[in-house]
Amino acid sequence: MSFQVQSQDFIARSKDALADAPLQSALGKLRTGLSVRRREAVAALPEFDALREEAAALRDYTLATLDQQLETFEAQVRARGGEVHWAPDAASARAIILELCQRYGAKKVLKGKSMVTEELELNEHLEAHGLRCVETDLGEYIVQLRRERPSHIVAPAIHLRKEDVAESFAAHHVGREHADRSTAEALMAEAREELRAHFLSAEVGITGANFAIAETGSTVIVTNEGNGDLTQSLPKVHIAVTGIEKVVPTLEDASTLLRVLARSATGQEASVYTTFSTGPRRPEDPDGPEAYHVVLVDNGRSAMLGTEFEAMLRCIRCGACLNHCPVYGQVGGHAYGSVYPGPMGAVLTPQLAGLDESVHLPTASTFCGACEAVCPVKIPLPSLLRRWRQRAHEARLDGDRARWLLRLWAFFAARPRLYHPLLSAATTVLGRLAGPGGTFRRLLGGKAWTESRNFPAPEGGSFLASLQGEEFAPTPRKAPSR
Amino acid sequence: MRDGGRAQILGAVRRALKARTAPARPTHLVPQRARLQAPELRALFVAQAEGAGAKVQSVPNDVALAEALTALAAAHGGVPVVAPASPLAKLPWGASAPALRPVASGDALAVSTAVAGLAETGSLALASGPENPVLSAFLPEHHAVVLPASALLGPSEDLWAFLREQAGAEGLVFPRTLHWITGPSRSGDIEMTMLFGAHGPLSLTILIQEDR
Repeated sequence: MSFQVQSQDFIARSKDALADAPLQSALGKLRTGLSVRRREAVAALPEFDALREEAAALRDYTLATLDQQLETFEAQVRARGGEVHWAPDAASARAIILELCQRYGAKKVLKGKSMVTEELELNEHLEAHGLRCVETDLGEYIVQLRRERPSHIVAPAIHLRKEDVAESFAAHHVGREHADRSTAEALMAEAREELRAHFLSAEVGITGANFAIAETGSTVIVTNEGNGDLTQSLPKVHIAVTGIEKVVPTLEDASTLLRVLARSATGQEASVYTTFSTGPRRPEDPDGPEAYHVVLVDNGRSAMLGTEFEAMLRCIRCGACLNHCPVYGQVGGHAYGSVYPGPMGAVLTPQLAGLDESVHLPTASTFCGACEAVCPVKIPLPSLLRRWRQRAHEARLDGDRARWLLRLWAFFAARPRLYHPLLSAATTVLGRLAGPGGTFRRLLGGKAWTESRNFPAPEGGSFLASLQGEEFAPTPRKAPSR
Repeated sequence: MRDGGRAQILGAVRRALKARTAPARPTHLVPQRARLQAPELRALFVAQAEGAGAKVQSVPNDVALAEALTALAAAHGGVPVVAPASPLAKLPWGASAPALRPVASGDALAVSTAVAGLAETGSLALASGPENPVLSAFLPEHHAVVLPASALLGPSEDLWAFLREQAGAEGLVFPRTLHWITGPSRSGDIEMTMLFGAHGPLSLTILIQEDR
């Protein structure tokens, strides 16, 4: 497989994350920040739900005509003087991009924020061939200095505190021994100065693309910083790297998707810079790149078409499912061991890296449904996660303990005459045994639960019994003592 | 490998789609918000642009425009940088001459012109070209954009319709770069604190040029 992950260690990494106080304080800001801003932006647009409906249908239409859309896009890029390259997998994408950098004699390469190039591990590849890669998005720049991976697809440095950023700047920025690094403002001003020098001295700029418009052969990027624009306007070459699924048919379609993207990602009505790039600079233009290349990356995407996971290809990488996921909110992005974390990552990673490499990720969900409820293109994420769990079970990847317990439960559940009396007896006994407040502080085999909270005891009677008309008789409760 | 990539990807896509009939294209919905007449449209644009952190001022004529740009640049310790091919070069600048040259990193203020203002989001649409270098919007410390009042539109669909009207025999004439700019550059990447002036300009001033 050409997509490297460290998702085998999900359980160990999650435990570390839960015990990491600075990380927990950083994640706390995510839980109260982006989701609140999104809710306010959605409330201000009465048509938001109708637009989500349209966006989902539009993505499905595009995927069903993907071959035509890609061919139209390619023809339009060529007609306007650009080149299109097709990369079936990560290795071919890396080779194409390296060859382009070498063709133009590049020594320094600027990077706009791009998740697909993270997926390709492009920086490592280019650096192994003697090129200097500089990430220009502030968050990406910080994690690059720290030799880390982004922990969020939209906010790469969400796991860090400003003290961590100050430490990294002190370690890497030369000649700034007395810099004030006590505030976020000072840190950003310092990064602005450092990066400006890089902007003015690179030969190639690489960006991703939020969308590729078939009608005009344009690639679209959406940023708040302006780093993507400097990245693609100052160097003599602009390379836009994007997944084959990012194509949209027309300019109006882009308008619809941009409306739901900005609100879902950061709660903005519109991002600060939405940039449509079409071909290289025109002969009369005073600036802009002399060459424009688009690299279309498959890397496992076409294999999702026509399968039960096709809906995942609708994804526009807004990050709303991460921001609203109770699991992501507790463990952060690095625990997932994949550049795509959270609910969207838990569906995508098994597809791109193999289920045997990432079997824990689909289980890292409470199925609360928040991800599906906020998804701007209505991807049924919990259903897709459930399908991966089913596949893991079929492939015997879910572990002996889980399989044994499931088999035990199935044995009883298939025998109602045995199941009901046993269940009824168990609820009565557990109800009587419960401590103050009708809860257990400790429970045999339930340590993972009771370590952090009490386990509620059954209140007597079963759902089936009350359905059949038996009187529902709660077990008498002792007064809570805490 | 490289020549084979195209056939390999399109082949895989076609095999996966087989003879699937595409679902109907959904009906395109444009939010009602910006379906307004002139005075309300203008009020919406100003409110949205200010909400995004831009400053908006009205200039009644060319003399006032030149004075406003000179004052803005002076407030930031410089003179306005204007592209030599821009129509703004011919404004009645009087005694205070602008710098007619390409923008350089660290310039106090550069000036662009917008092809449209989008009231739905308070965004400016800038088309790159000799009159409007891309870098004027990104390299200076502060950015000023001149927007003719007559170029105020509602949603971005109005801009696409305008470009389609201008389309010639070879189809849409599209600039190398088309920007929608909504407020000044910012980042929330350090502890989710939103700060202005990440890489691009620290401030954005929109000068609405009244119809002559």
